[in-house]
Amino acid sequence: MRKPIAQFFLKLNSAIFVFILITVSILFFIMPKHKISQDEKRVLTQFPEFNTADLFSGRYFKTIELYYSDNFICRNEFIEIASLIKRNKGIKNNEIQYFTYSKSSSIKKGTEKDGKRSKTTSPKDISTTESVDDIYENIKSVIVYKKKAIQIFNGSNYALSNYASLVKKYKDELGPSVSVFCMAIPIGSDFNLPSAFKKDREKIGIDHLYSVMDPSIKCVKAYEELRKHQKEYIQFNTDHHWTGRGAYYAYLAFCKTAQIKPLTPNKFEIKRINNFLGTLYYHTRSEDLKENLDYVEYFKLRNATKTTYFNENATKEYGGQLFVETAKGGSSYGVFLGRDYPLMKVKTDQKNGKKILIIKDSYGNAFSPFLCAHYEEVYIVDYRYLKSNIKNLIKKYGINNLLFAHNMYVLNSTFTISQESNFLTSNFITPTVTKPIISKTVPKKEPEKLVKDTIENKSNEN
Amino acid sequence: MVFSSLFFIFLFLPINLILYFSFKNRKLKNAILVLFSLIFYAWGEPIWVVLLLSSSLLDYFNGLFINKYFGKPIAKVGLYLTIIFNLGVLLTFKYSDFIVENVNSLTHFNFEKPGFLMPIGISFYSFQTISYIIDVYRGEVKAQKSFLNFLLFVSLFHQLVAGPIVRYSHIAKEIEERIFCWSDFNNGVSRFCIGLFKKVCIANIAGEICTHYLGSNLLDLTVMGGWFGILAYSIQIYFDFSGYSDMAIGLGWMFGFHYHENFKYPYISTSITDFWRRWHISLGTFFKDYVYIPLGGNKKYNFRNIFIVWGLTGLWHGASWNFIIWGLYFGVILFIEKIFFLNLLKRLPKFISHIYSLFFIIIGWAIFYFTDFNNLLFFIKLLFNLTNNELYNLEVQNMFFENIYWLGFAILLCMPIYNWFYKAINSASYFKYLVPFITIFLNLLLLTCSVIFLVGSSYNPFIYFRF
Repeated sequence: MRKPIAQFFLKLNSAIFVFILITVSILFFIMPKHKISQDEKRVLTQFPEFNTADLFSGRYFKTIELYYSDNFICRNEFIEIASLIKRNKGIKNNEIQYFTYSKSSSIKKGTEKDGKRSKTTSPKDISTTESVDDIYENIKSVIVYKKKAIQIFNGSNYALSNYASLVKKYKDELGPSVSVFCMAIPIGSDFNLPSAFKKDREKIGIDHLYSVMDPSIKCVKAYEELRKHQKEYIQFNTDHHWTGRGAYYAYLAFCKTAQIKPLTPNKFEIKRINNFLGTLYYHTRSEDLKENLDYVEYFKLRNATKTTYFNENATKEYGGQLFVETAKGGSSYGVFLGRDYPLMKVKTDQKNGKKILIIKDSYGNAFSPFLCAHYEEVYIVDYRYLKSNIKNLIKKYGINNLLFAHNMYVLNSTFTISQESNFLTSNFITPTVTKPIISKTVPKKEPEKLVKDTIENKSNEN
Repeated sequence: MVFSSLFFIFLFLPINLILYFSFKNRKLKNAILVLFSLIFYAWGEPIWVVLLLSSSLLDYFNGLFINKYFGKPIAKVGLYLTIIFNLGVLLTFKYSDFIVENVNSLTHFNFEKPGFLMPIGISFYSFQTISYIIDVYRGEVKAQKSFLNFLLFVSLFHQLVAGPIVRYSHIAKEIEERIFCWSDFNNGVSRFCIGLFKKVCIANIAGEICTHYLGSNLLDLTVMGGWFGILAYSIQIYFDFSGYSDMAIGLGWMFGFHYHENFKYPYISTSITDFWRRWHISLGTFFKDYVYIPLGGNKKYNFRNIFIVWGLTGLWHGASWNFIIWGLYFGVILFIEKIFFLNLLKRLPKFISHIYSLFFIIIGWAIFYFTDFNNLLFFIKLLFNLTNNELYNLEVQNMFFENIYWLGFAILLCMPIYNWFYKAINSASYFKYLVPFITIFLNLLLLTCSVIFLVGSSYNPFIYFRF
């Protein structure tokens, strides 16, 4: 009697397994396919169009595989359960939650998408301006402390020294007719981390950068100015950017350095966009952050400006806006400039002959509009996207001020240095991209990764 | 394609199973397996199927040639042709950059690196065909007459990309006649679920922790972070590789093939000698049978032979000096153990030998991880607090506690608890009847967990692709 029973269970075990496999396969074909994942803010992988090049490179099949996993049954529910399990695989510190950067986070794919999107769609529906994966590439850890997401800064003096020599190179090439400014922007680590952390990493970095900077460069002490106001709303709770108010204090610091009389807040029309849930929420998926929504505050200039933006070679000009006030929801930070255009040009009603070019990352979006109150023309370059010679631009437009304004992550990345050195050479060369054997990500992030490796090696030699 | 992908589990495998079991004819069954294997292989980089096919074709004819002139000197031609071709392919695609790099640094030449992309699984299947030809030459097996069957041996997707390195003699009979039995299929299912769980729920999570620490800027790493990172790497590499072997063995059982075990709980070893009897067994026996013993084994030039074998073992793992150092590192320890240390260990309490082995295994993984020599030196110094790095910080402390249940579970799984568990419930008369239920329940649990994590994370790197 027992043997047949045992035999039956053997079959049952096998049958259940095969049944599940087959059922899920069939369900995949039956279930409706989705185009967009709301949670991840990205378009899901679509079934690829056939072409022989993709077939031979293996990309075609890989896309099919991605398409399959993006359209897996009950995908969102599974993701939810997975993050629930992950949250409970150890003893949680209730006060401080850690979110290690890892490739698993869905935001990885999300940012990838944003990167692609910023090239193709109209400025209106552009989400957060930080696009390519580079910013996440550098985020080491994010903690959520008292319902606020804080990035832990991590960088080396070695990289910063290299940046200082790059700025010097610009100065040498441009000569005395162009004043060169450098502004290092803290990302909130020092101001917001709880006391259990070493809290002066950013300060050490900035102090080092300014100490090795050539005396001919004017360094903007934004850090000190921001620190005075660190209790105010200068950094978002749920996003990796600073707020408009943070940018305003940096503007005060800039004015001090440039010997300009800054405008007081009452000279601006201060407006708000509510209900902003930023990138760090999607990075951490921490429920705490949802309870502490941000608002985007922007200081609207009262003087008249005319804004245009250019394509990446700076050859074609289109109409743009300094403030895209239709920005809302997760894209609210896009109110500043709309998105990261390779090059923007703002003509103002100031007739003083002063022209400035700012090389910035997305932190600069909130900052750049302030300059328009004091300069006749403001040129805004995003270091990631421009493919043109800055020296020529400066000559062509008669620009007499140059400002490097970057956050501490960007200053620490060798990708920044290689990009910005390229702006000086006459033939713009984008860093070569090596494709990994198995990678679901777009190759765009690869150069960043490579340089990251090399910098680590180098900093160890020191 | 990899086993630990949704596409494989919920499309490729069921279709393959349905087609395979809907035909009775063995030839047709083999053809289906070959077809699916080629699709499986082509999925990553379709072009390399050509290499696989041409290599198989050459080795197939060489096998027949050697068989025909068996015992005659001319048979050697076939033997050498296969060895030269396979090693040549391996040298070209896997080692050419490494060789050129070293030639350039030794001489004043400045050759350009060829920069080939390595075809997936080449290290595994080229060794399989070499072993086949040598076995035919030695008369240990008969050459396979049918090309289809031979191709099945080489390309079978279970072990094609990540081993184990299957010997022809192990499955020669099963290629020609396999008997289906439910208990095999049942065991295969269980084994596959275990392997999948090991890969997805243990190795992948360990991988995240490992890259977080070891992949970060070493100057900022804390000592505790260093140890945590290298521990995570040790967990990752074992569960990744053995999980993959489990899945391969499980799939084999489902289709009626019996592959030999590739891992036997290596982290419970009592010595490094013991470790290498438990770690990647199919590679160890390959080098023993085809390099160590032909060189003279322990009878002639024992010292030299040990170092050749371990240098090569290291080199097999990757085209970089750190792998060679890693191999030689074990060569030295094994040699020391062989002369006197093993005898000493036997007299010491058991927990000391466990600690001793684990310590050297883990340090070994550090050598394995860091391809850059300066980074490696710095890291080893860091582990022993010989650098100026912090001892620990809140971050690593938090990270450790946030993963502590998982970590405990992973360490438990390094021991044969699954076997203990089954032994225990089988011997208790009450539970005995529940065993089938427990099996079904466990399999469902493992599969569900794995699917949850597979869907939940796109993080699915496969570290053994490097080989």
